[in-house]
Amino acid sequence: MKKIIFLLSALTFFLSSCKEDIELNLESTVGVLCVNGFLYADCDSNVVLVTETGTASPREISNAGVKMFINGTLAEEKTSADSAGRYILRKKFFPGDIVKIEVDYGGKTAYREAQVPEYVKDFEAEVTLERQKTYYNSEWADFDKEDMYQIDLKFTDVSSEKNYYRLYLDEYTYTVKYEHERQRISDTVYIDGHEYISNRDTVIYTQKKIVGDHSYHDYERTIINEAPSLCDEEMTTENDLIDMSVYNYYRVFNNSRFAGGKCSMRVYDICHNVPEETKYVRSEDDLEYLPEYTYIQYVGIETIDEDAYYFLKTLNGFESGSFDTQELTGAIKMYRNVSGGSGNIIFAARKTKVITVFDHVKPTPVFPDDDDDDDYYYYK
Amino acid sequence: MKFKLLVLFLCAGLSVSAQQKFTISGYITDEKSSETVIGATIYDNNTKHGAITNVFGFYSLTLPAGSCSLKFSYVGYTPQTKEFTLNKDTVINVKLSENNELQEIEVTAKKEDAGVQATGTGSMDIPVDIIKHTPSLLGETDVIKTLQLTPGVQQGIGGSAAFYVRGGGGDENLVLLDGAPVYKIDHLFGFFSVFTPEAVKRVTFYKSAFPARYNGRTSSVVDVRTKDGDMQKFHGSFAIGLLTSRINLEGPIVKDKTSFSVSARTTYFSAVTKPFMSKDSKFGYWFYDLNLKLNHKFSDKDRLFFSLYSGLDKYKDDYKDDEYEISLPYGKNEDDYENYVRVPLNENYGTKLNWSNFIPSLRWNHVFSSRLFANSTINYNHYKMNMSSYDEESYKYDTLSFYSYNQSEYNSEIEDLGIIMDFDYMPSPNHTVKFGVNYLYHNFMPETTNSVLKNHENSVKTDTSASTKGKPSYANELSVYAEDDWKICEKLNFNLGFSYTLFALKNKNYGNFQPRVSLKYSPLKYLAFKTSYSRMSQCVHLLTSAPISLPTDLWVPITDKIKPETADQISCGVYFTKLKNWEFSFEGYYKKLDNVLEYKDGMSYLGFSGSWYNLVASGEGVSKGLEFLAQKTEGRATGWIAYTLSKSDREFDRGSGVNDGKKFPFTYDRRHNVNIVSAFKINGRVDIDLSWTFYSGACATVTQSKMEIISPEENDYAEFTEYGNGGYIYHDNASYVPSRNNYRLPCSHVLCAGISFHKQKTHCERIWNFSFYNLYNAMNPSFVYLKNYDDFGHEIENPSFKKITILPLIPSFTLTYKF
Repeated sequence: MKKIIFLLSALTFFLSSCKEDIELNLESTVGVLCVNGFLYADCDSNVVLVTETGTASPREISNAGVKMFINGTLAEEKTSADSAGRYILRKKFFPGDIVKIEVDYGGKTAYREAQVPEYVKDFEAEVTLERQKTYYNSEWADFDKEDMYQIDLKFTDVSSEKNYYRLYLDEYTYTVKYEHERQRISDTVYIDGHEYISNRDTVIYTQKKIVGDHSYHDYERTIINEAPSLCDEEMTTENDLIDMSVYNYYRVFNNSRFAGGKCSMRVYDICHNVPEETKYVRSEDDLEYLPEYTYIQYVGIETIDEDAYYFLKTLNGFESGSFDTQELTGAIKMYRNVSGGSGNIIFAARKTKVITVFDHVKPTPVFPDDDDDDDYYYYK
Repeated sequence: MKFKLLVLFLCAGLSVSAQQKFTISGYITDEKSSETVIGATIYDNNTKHGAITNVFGFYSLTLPAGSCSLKFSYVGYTPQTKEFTLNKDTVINVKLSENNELQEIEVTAKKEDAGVQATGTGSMDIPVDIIKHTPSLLGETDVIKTLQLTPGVQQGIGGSAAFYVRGGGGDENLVLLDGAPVYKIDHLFGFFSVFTPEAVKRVTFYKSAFPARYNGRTSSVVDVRTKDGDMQKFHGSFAIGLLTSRINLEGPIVKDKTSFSVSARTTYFSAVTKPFMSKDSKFGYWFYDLNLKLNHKFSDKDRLFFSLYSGLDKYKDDYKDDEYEISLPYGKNEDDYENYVRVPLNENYGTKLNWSNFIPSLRWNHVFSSRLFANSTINYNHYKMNMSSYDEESYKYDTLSFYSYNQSEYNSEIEDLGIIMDFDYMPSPNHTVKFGVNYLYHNFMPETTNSVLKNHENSVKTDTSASTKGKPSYANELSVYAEDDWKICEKLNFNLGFSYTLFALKNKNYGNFQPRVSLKYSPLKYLAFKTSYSRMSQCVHLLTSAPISLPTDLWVPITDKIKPETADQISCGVYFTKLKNWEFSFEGYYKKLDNVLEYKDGMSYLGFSGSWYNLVASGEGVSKGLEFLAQKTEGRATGWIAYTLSKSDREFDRGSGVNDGKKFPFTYDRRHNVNIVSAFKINGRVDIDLSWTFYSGACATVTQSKMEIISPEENDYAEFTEYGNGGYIYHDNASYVPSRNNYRLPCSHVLCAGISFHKQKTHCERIWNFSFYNLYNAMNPSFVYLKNYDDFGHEIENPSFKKITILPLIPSFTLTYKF
């Protein structure tokens, strides 16, 4: 009997192991007009990009008719893109304006019309350097320490209606090097999603995720007490499962926790260009070659509409690899708000603070002891 | 106002004549086992009035005083006739004996609530014999797999236990096990259902004209009742199959007083697949089902039942890697590379996935009077899912040592506590009134995470742990219902009922009035016309992320912003039973769904679950169709031919973020569906079972072209364009999907066959069953996807679509001993 059962089992699995892939054909969807742009209030150089869907990649269109209507009046019209493929709109619009972007090409018309969101009110921001801040690195499921910039910001909600926001952060680091050559090192923040979300969303992250009695957690709780008014839970990672987390790369959130009121946030950003505190020098002559560090942080809150919010959340999912298994889920239809075609025209109103954290700061010179290897310390 | 009218209507209907009447009541049981017989007919030949036993085998028939000639019958049993003079309320308990001449597989559709004879449309009793003789995947005969072969029911991925009724979603089916709702009805990612046929006594399926006592889901009700246990003698069966084994035992504890029935099933999937695993990996999958029922008869008026269902799935994969080496500084000077040593690093990592159902329930049947029967139930339901992964690393060399252990865990739980009071009141032969109250306390604990991090380096420990609890959701669900099945005259039956459900959340209460009306007109004995209207509401939803059943699928309640889903359904049909042993039905339906939930474009449960309610939108759905069923109920060959023509769409507002506000077909919108089910008894030793299913293609969302997208931040792939004020926008390519479910899959067809050989041994009967799923190996599409990359990970210039067939020809066998 055992033999019969074994043979039957083996036969069954042998026969069951076959699998076949067969090609299918689908009706073509090439040539759909696609209009994209992040357009900011009170900005004299808003960019619109026009393309058509294509099989391998989208086709850039440089001779579309792009019109901008402000409150029903044609404010600007472009008939060709610049050399970089951009349709740059110079006419400013402001919060509360009804703006329509209309694109004509090849007999097709695509448009987006919406009211420009309002600015947040009472916007304030501060930046301080935190040396060796402990944080939970969700990528490695471990605790790390890094030098970070602590960014505190406050603002008042636009209204008690449902509002959507994006936290804008940008940083500029200037370093004057030994050769006295002023060189722009970096013009944007180091954005690594895993690190980013673990730090910039510390406030929310810890409030939601960490409950414990370890010293690391005590530290995090202190932060919570300092910032009782928080943003919605979308600011954080959605769950901790490996390969299942969606990171808030694009820092979008809504006002579900502070509708009509004030919001205060504390976020952290690992900065890899933190000024050195000390610098070894070999002699007094070297003091003039000490580097100088300048660090400028841009902090802003962009008011966006619901479409933009969900579009950016979709992008969060893509960046986090949530849609990688499309064999099971099917293709993902992107959120889009352009009628008559595809794409997203997003109107935003951004309040920004430019904060100079370090202005030509020099490290403290340290002279090595005689016993030490000068070269070693100098070059370290 | 509606309620007043209803009460007046019921009162008028319940008015009885002045003639003196008495009531005959009692239980009808199987002579051999004392198992109660559900749906048995009691008919008085003199007055032409009759009654039918309820789900507990109880009947009540009120007749005028005088001589009676009562006939007790049930298909498959020898009828009994009792003649007497009725001059007082009388209790008659009847034991029916099986008719050995009718041992073939029979469909018993003459039921109170279901089938051709019922007042309402769209209901069906699925006899356990039919379930046992429906060939299915891996020989696992299954309640749900049989349901999938009935008209109006679409299956999900071929071979899975998911089912979609009349255009409704997979979470819109109320599956009740002895009255308790079951949240997770499947094992092995949806390919086995949790119901072992040996434990099942009766399955009733409703897809429209829902009796008032059912509510909570919008598309269908599957009411599964388990066996009470033989009160006369001990017997059982044991079956060993390709992947599972089952055992069923039942018998008396105290003869004619107390009985038990226990059924258990387990799998040895791991043992079968072990020879194919590499030595470094340990893969394991295991599940079990346990059904236990205890039944105690205190008296003819009181019975107590305890039933328990417990099921568990365990999956794990562990990997061991000890081939990797690392360099360690060893010596005084850490920077002296000559002092580095190579040390083997031991690494273990793996994943575990467990999910379980635990559903005990206690029921008490009490006969208050010959006309009033009560059933009280307390049940508890605990569904739990746990998923965890770990990674362990260690090395040791002389005084150097290192150990790290990281574990992250994800839990999701639901706890329900239910109290149900059901009453059957039979004031006259023309009325069967049912009323009751149902209270459910829900406790949803959707997401709890834990992480443990251990780090021991040269005896220095830095251990941490963190845990989070998802927001638990508590809800109270209270339903009251009443219905009257009123035989207006010989040719006209009317069923009027309502259910009122109050779903109370922390911040908001939702009340929902759900009327149910059915009318049956029988101009001829063998011809009936029926029509019905019913409204159902649903306050819990299943968030799914894939077309196969995953334990991560999450049941969640509605919120203060998401209203309950409702379904209004009108159906009508004609039923014909003129041909001997044949029943024909032809039904049409129109169903409108409101507050149907869909994820917004670009949203998915995967990874977004923390705030699911922000990611979904409410919309509408319309489903309509025609269903034809020709069923042979008796004879050597039994079975049915079913055809369904259906259409189901979804539509959401323009601003909802779902498909640009355009109407789109439901995923399982299959236009045509044909099912042929046949069980043929060649002789006393051999029988053959066949089922053939054809369904036109379901829908899938696929893409063939690329579009440009923009983002305000840098990412790994995007190019950037500078704009005037010193900032950048970034643009990238993404798949362009013109519309949801924009592609219709090719049609599918599957032939399943089984042959059974019976042999009577000295102490038992032996049955060898060989079954073949997808006998002619049809390459049906389970999934389609765009193949962008070749096997080496290189992007393909002209990507093409692929379809994956996951279930080709699969033979299997089962060996059963009945003793």
